Amino acid sequence: MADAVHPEQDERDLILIADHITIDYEVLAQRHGRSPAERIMSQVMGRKQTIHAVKDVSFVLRRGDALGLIGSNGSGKSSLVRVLAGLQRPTRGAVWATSTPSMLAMSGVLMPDLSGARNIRLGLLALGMTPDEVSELYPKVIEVTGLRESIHLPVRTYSSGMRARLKFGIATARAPEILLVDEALGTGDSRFRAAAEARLAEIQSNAGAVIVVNHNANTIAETTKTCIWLEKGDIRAVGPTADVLPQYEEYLGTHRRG
Amino acid sequence: MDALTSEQAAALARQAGLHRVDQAGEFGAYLRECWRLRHFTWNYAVSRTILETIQNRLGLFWQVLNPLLLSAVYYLAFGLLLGTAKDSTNFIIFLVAGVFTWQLFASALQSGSLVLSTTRDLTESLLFPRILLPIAVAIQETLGALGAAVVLYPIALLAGLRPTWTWLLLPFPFILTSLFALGVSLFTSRWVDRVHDLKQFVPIVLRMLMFVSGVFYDVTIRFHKAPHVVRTIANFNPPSVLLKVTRSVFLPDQLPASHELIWIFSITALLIIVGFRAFWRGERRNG
Repeated sequence: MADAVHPEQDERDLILIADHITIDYEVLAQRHGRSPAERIMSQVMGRKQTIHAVKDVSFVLRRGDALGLIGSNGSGKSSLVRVLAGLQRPTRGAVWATSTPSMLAMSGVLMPDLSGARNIRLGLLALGMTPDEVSELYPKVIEVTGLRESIHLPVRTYSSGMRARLKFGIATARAPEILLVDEALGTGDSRFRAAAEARLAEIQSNAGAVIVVNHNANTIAETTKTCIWLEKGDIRAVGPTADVLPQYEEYLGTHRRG
Repeated sequence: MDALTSEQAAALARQAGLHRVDQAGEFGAYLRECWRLRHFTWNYAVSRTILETIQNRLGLFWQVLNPLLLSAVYYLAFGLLLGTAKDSTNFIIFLVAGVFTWQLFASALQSGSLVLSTTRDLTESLLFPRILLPIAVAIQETLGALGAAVVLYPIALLAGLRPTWTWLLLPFPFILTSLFALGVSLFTSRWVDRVHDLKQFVPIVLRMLMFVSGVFYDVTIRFHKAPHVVRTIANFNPPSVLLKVTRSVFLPDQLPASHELIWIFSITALLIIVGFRAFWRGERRNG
């Protein structure tokens, strides 16, 4: 919302509006009874408890933006980004965008027991490409992932860095208009990170936008210019990354480590 | 900090040409998206088949052997001990064709009902109409069943039948069975996703259905003396009609009456049409 303070100024460059997003989870309160019977009873009879993961968050994104979303574990940033990608319904609020953002997440490979090659084909088809387009893009994606011979091994056997490269290759095979990157850049070696950052910059310069989600200040500093700091579901600060990060780090320093 | 109300945001969004991405689109758009992603659906079904073959090294072999072993057990327990073998002029092919159809129905309904919870890896990383998942399951099950069903031909020959042109129709009863199971799982998959405990009932309901559907006896004969209501229900029970359709490929006297055929085609079509809408509505609400 760095430049969302006066969103009415110019609607032409708008690419995404997050409008008053609230995400609640209903969970059963688990009490730690002394006997197994008590614990079972609390499972069955336990009162439902509402967890407010994200509270009334709004911001806009414009063409060329790179927005950082930072916050400690459990701040609600992953829930928020899943809602932005349409993978989860918000409890209240709306997400408006030119096209559904592509999400690149740490969790979930398409089919972990199948080879990287098959996952690439499947992923590209799921993004709506025709078999011909897939065949055309396939060599390029292989090159981006740098997986070489490992491409024929089951994804289950990959290291987390290799998985990150695989998913990055799939999600950016055809540059999406809006790319959401949830923690996925943290893994992988420096060469991959350089390639990934170049790809993010390319999306921005093609009039797209990226949102980078991370708990690591360095990653946010390297990839974004504006930044939202989310803590316990609330926006704690918005502004140029260089201004927000010191506040976040100071907070982390005083709240070691919940 | 936010200068906009939701109404202003919506107005601004429309001006800028944005649309809602936090909910499934209108029904028409949903159907178009399904069609656009047909290659994905097919590829995913094939991938699941490959996966199954990798996981059980003798994958297809078991898909043939398992129904054959079950048939042997039923032959012993029901055909010989309880005397249902005299229900058909050729009980062996009657039984084996029935078991293969039943296995397809049960397996398609089981995996179709649970598909939303067994595919989290996929649904957590990609957005696509979720109805493609039960559809892919139906395709996968059909492919597996068709591959395995080839063994019905040598069995029919060994059982003393002469080949006729109707033998070539064997794929159709299997496709019909899968479509019916798909229609049902369009509803059950949503229910299981909402209330996870329901999945405990799937195998139980299937077991009960198996006993009343005439897998190892002839429904028409065994319910002949039953009260009219019971007899009607037993005869119109969709799995029971589906079994008869498969058997009729080999045993013409098993061909269901025309009103039973009309019934099974219309209930399948109705389930799929209404199921598509119900599934889409569930997706709008819950993702």
